[in-house]
Amino acid sequence: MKIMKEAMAGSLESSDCLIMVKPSEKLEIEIESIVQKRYGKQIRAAIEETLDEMGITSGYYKVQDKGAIDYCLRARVQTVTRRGCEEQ
Amino acid sequence: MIGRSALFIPASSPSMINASIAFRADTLIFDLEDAVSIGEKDAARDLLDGALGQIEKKNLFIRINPLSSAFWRADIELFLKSGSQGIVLPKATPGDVKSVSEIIKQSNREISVVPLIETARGVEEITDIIQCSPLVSGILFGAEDYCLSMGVKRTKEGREIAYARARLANAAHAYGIEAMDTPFTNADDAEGLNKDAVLAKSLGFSGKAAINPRQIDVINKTFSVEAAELEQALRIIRAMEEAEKSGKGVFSLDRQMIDAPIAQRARKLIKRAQIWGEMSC
Repeated sequence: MKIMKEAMAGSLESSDCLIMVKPSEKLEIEIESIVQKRYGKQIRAAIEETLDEMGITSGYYKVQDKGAIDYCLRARVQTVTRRGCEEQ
Repeated sequence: MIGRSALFIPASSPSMINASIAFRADTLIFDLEDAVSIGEKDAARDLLDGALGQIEKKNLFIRINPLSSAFWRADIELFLKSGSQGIVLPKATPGDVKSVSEIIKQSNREISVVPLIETARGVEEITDIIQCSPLVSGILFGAEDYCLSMGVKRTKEGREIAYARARLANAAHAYGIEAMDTPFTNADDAEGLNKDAVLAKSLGFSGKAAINPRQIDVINKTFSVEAAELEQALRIIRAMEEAEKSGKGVFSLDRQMIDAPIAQRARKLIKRAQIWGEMSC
């Protein structure tokens, strides 16, 4: 799978996260989180793990986290990645 | 078994999904249909897929999109993967129930199909809908869309849905399945909800759907077995056991003749009280 276009998934509501993706030569993940200090590492790990499972090696991901728990983060990554991979 | 209360949870809302574990509804219905906009169906399925593996609760149902939509097959795939107990089928027709039952029975696990009856035609076809699959364990009435299909205004008093309610409750009893009443849509009107639930119970409904967690306690209370009713049922069964020992088929208790139908009703009532934790035995 390869990111072909810009896409978004999720929301800025509490317990959710908004993820934007766009094509890029390398894999870049930028995270802003209300719980960055405490859970920043786990958030990044969950995102990287999900992308690895989906076979994604490139793309620019911007994650705005509003306290999403693990399953929600992973679900939003899956949705935005599939949307970004769809043909225009 | 759906139980006394069934709460709709929007499958697109992480905060509602996270909170759902604390709600005291007998059944949770995760909604992929009306609560999710067309453009967010994929996201809601991903979210629910992740969430359902983490929710430890007995009665989890999924309301899929109607078979007339482009989304229902993906919804069913998620349902089969999820291990949920039941599927709620909107705007159900006999053909829809049959098609869905054929697909999900291959999963080899115990699954309930609950057709949502929300059209004038659905009400008229209720016996076919119930009979077309052994997986149908209950029916759910949806009054908002039903009124739309009838071209009538939905009112708080509900005179316009009296026929549909009576017909559906009667059909459910005729075939020994559960009948869930339509949600009461004003979440801030507890008194109105209580009246509506009492009316539904008096018509023969076994429970009621809810659209807000605040409605659950009122619904559970209304559809629970009353203490006096339970005590009387236990007395009937004890007296019946005594009568059977002495070889009597019919006997009297408090000067009232007790025969098989009354004993059967008492047994049903006791079973219901046991299931929903209203008695310790």
